[in-house]
Amino acid sequence: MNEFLAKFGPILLKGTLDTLYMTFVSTFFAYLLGLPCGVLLTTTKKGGIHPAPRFNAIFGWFINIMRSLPFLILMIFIIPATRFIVGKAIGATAGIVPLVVAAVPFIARMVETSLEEVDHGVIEAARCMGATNLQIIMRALLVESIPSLLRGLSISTITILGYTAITGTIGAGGLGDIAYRFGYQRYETNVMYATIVLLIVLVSAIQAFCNLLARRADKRNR
Amino acid sequence: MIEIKNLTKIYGEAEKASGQTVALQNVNLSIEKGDVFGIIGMSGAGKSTLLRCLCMLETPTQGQILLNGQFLGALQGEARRAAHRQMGVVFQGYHLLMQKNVEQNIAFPLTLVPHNKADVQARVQELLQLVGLTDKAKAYPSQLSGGQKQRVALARALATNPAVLLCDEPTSALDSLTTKSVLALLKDINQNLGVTIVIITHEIAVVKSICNKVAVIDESQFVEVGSKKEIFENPKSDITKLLLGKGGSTNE
Ligand SMILES: Nc1ncnc2c1ncn2[C@@H]1O[C@H](COP(=O)(O)OP(=O)(O)OP(=O)(O)O)[C@@H](O)[C@H]1O
Ligand SMILES: [Mg+2]
Repeated sequence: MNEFLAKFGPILLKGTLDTLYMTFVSTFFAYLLGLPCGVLLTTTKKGGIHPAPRFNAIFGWFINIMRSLPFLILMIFIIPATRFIVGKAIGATAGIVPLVVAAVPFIARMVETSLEEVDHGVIEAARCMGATNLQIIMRALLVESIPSLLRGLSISTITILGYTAITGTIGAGGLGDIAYRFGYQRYETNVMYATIVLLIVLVSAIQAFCNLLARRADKRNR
Repeated sequence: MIEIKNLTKIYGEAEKASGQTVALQNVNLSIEKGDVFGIIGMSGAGKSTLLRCLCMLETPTQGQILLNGQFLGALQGEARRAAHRQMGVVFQGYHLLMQKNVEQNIAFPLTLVPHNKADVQARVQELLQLVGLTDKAKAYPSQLSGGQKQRVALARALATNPAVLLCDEPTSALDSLTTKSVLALLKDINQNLGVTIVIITHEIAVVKSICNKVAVIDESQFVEVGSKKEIFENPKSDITKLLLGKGGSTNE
């Protein structure tokens, strides 16, 4: 055990940190873009607070097309864009670009689902109190769906964490990359098992943390 | 104060399979300042539709609504929001913000416009006292009883000092004792604050206890409009007699 840790510990630690770095930075930027997209999807819908059915249909289509692309294809497809944005096409930072691009449409749909759960009556009540559309979004729609958005956050983060295993193959590093290199290419199965254990711990921790946040935030059942 | 002229509301589109529903047909009504106006009718008669047209949540298919001489249908943007602030609405389902506490719910309409925090705080305290919920200021809606939620909704609707208070079935979910206290509160608001009140209801007891005028609505139309006295002493239509429990022909 000690021997194993001495030999592979540093690699596993670096892999864990790379995975966390890619996951959290990607999640952050993906929400920065995905949250407004989700709001737009919800509000421009027929019966939404600012109906624009044609825009909604086109935008929804675009989101669906983006979501249909397999991640591996998308990642290779946007390598030129990645190189343009971060200056290089390999490494953990380069892995973030395809992760964000893949996660934005996913998060947009997750956010849309959360916002749809908000009682329509509350939105009508806000309108009757003289709220502007922006105030309805910021003060009613988003606030009322915070617990649901936080539960969505755990799903999004864990999905992105899963994708980091694939970005690993274009040299972005991380635990997935280690599992692939040592377990598949070199038959060092112990290293592979260690990465799997680490991934399980990370996923469980993210899930538990987000659940805790959601439960803390939710004022409905106390 | 409020004039409803030839108001018609038809839901749905003729081409669609679901077809059309005529919810209101050529309705006329005039509500004066200081009235406690009861609008009573059976389920599906079109009461909520009328209220939703009044508070601009539905666009009339035909006809006009005037608030203090202003055509509601012509209002846009800030003028529309200003008209909204003139009308407090208490919905059947309360529609409180579930993630905000009582204080924050009541403060909500006040914080939609540029405001001073201390003034808002003072106004909220005043309203909490008015509805008797000072001890529940920090509670969340999920911790309140139906009657308490109703009071929060009432306080919130009154926060901006509206000229008119529109209430959809304000007591239908409450027991008889709580109903009495909510009605007493409404009466108090009308008499002491001079707020005109429109109450939608299906309970004749509500009309009896606080309204001065009544309109009876049946199948999308008003069958009778008048002072409470007139209608209680001399009901003309069958539906009114039924509502009053005075028989009438039931073989329709
Ligand atoms: N959004 C809608 N789309 C289509 N039809 C509707 C809609 N809202 C109401 N209706 C129809 O309009 C008619 C009047 O409905 P309304 O809600 O005004 O009745 P109500 O008098 O408030 O009844 P209740 O006492 O049960 O609340 C009903 O036939 C109803 O089915
Ligand atoms: Mg109704």
